[in-house]
Amino acid sequence: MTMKLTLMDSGRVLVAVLLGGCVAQPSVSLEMEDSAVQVRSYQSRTYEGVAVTTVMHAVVSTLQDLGFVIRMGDARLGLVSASRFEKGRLGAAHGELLVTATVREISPEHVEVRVNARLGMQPVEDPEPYRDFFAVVSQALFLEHGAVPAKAGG
Amino acid sequence: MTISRMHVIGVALLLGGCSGAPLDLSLDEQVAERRAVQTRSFAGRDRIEVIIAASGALRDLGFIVEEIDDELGLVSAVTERNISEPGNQLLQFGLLLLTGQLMAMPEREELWVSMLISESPQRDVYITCERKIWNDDGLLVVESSGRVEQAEFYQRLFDSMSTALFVEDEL
Repeated sequence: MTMKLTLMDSGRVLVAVLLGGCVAQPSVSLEMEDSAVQVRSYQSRTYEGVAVTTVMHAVVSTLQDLGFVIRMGDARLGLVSASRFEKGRLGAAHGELLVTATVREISPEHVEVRVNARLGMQPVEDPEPYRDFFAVVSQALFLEHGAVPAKAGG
Repeated sequence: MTISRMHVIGVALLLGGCSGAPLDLSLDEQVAERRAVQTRSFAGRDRIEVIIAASGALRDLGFIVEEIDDELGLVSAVTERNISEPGNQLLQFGLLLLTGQLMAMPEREELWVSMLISESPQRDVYITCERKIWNDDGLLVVESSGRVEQAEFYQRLFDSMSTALFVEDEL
């Protein structure tokens, strides 16, 4: 009886292992959807007639004004990463709002800023927060340096 | 059938209401006030000196400096500490006797600070800080976590920076 049970148990383990091997593992997805181009366009803004370092400082101080803590910044690479703890409003889930901004000179007269945000594990794809963010950056650049955004999008 | 359909619609409406909170990245009205509290000028000081003083002040207060970029004028640091009070366990036991439920108590605090030192001759230092608190059950205390707004906290950091600069001058 004991032997029978042991054999049955071994059988179960074997079946479990075999079936376990059949469970589909989630694949690493790096697909780019058609909407990605559109998302990228409202994540980007080009500024004219202003130095790249000036835009970089405007981006960083805007993030600070919005309550972000700057986690990483590299002026040479034009890269900034920041985070803000987002308390769930209206019953929404709370989470870490992570923002990465890149600032680069695309011509002697033009500087492009691209910002992308993620709330928890979800990328922020709503255009509104990006519009709000660039409005603050543009305001800071205009007030301090008289610069105006050349255009939205890259 | 009708009642269960109504239940399904009710639950769907409730869940729908939960997911629709918009993300806000616009400035609020208190920004100027907050900026005044979180900024201090170290006019006439060399920028590198101020960056070194900032990192020294943070380390004096128990922070670990995670990131420095002298070109950008950025210093980022983090600290973590145990915030459980000695009487918490007694209180927890008392509440367990009274209510029959084990109540979680604050145990761990994490503070993230970033300092931006301006290029301008005013040498403004702009600090932002965020804290997170976890209970002894490992869960984040959402109500107590978020932006640090107490003026005393920033005052203490700036005072510590002034001391660090004074010490550097004396060396």
